[in-house]
Amino acid sequence: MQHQLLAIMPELMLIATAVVILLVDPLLPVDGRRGLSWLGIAASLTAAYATWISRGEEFTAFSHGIALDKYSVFFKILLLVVAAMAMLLSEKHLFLKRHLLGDYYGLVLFTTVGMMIMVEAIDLITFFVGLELMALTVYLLAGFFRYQERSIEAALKYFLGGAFASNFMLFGMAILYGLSGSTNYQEISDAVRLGPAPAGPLAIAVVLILAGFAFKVSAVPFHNWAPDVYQGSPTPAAAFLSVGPKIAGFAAILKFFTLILGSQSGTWVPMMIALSLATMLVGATMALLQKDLKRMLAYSSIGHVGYLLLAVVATGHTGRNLGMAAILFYLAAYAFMNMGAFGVLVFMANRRPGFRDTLDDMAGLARRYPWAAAIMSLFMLSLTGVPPTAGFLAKFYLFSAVVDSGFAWLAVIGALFSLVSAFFYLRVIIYMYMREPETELVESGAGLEAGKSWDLDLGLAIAAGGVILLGILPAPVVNAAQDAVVKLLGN
Amino acid sequence: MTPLQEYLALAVALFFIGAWGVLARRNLILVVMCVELMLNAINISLVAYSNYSPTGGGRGEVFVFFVFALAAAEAAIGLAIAIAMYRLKQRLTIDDLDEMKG
Repeated sequence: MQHQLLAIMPELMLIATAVVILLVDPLLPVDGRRGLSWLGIAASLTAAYATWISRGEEFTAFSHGIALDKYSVFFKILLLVVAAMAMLLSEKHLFLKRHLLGDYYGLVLFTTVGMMIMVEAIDLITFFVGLELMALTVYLLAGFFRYQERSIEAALKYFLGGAFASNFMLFGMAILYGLSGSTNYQEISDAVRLGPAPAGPLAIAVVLILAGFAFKVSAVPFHNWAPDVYQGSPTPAAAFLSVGPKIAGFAAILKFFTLILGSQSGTWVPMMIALSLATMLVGATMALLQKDLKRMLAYSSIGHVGYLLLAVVATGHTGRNLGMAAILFYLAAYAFMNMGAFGVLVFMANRRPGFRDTLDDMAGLARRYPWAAAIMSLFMLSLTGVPPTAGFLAKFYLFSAVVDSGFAWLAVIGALFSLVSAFFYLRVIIYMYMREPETELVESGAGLEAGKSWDLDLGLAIAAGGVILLGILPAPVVNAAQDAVVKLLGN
Repeated sequence: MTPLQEYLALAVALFFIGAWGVLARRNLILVVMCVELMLNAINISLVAYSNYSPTGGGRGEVFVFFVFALAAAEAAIGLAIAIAMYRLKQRLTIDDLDEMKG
């Protein structure tokens, strides 16, 4: 029994800290609440350390509800780092917008627990609980500025779409249970591969589950919520929910479609190819039309989901682990560059009260804030996939895996879309360095002082450091990713 | 004994009535109710599958308890959003919040 609780020690730490934050928050004076973000960050990092020291162990706990292996360790540490970065980016912004509530950090921690459970689950029920814990808390994060119409609109759209999509996925899972008589991944897999599961209902279950996942990671045609939600949410929350749920979603997609439905790849690979092509197309073309940077980043993240789906196709088609390891590395790179890009928007919003997240507002940034402009350029180059950044290697590994699986034409299409995407990423750099602002934004000395915060700067530095390190010294993360996927595919 | 197909037919019918409601209704409270209806349709299918399963009896019922808990939490969040929206708009028509497009 003791052994089992040890298995979820990191999750228990986060839950305990979140509860403490929620209880202590109302007792503290407004200024004292700012320390709560540090409590949350400390909890995430401690949990990451606890996960790290258990990396050698492999066992299942809670009657085969969760599996602790290198795969879950990789994703849990990544998610905990993302959560810590999200809290670093948030504190000052919430203070300036007068929404300084400990609830925010509690919600971030609960979301992280949900994502961690999704990643390590090997049972439909456990997975479902993790998924919903993540989903319900991110709706609240999207609507955290509850006196702003846009924030509530974001929460409403996210909630309605998310609940609808979850229901379809849940129905698919119910059918899987009905066909296999079990909720355990391995037993379902055996029943699906060997058993007399009729093809028709099985295909329906696959379609329903795929549709649910497509919504969670914002793949076309279930992507409509993403731009509205990112635009309307508080910017630091948008940074978190454009990264965390996607990482957890892809971790779960890989487990679902290789572990459970690996034998059915004939059914889902063609669907996944169609999804991926549509997702890359919409991501690249719609991003060109955006003036609002948060919407632009939303479509950009849709494009990245398209590339990631290509690698899922490669994994499903060959059953080899090259594509899967590429996805793990890509998600790590994506986490740093995307959080960093949103982080610079938080930085600007803190410094300039009238900042509207538009491209025009970025004009002339390099003159005012040379450092911010420099690292924004770094993130944009990495998102484009220019060496020596993390984004380049991530795309390189990913497209090589796709070519290796025999889908060279898909890799070519992916590379073409990535070329199109260069246009809107580089446009941000051009605006920052070569355009003069149309109206000089007035910044009083006092306002500038108030906008400074070293924790936001630290968060940006970590993101930039991650992008550069993964681009120059990728070996540790690549090796970890390769180790992580070995057992899952059994080869 | 009623065959499994009849339970499933009921579940599918309820599920799509709920789905239609989510898409067609404009009042937030009614939409949240329709989401709950979809979840209950899934519960019926889970219990039916569990009852007819040669091996996995019991698991479906356990699943249903978790779905209940989720449904309660989801209703709480949906109504919290409804309250926040009502404070801003004095209305609960979901089309009212349509500022962002493009």
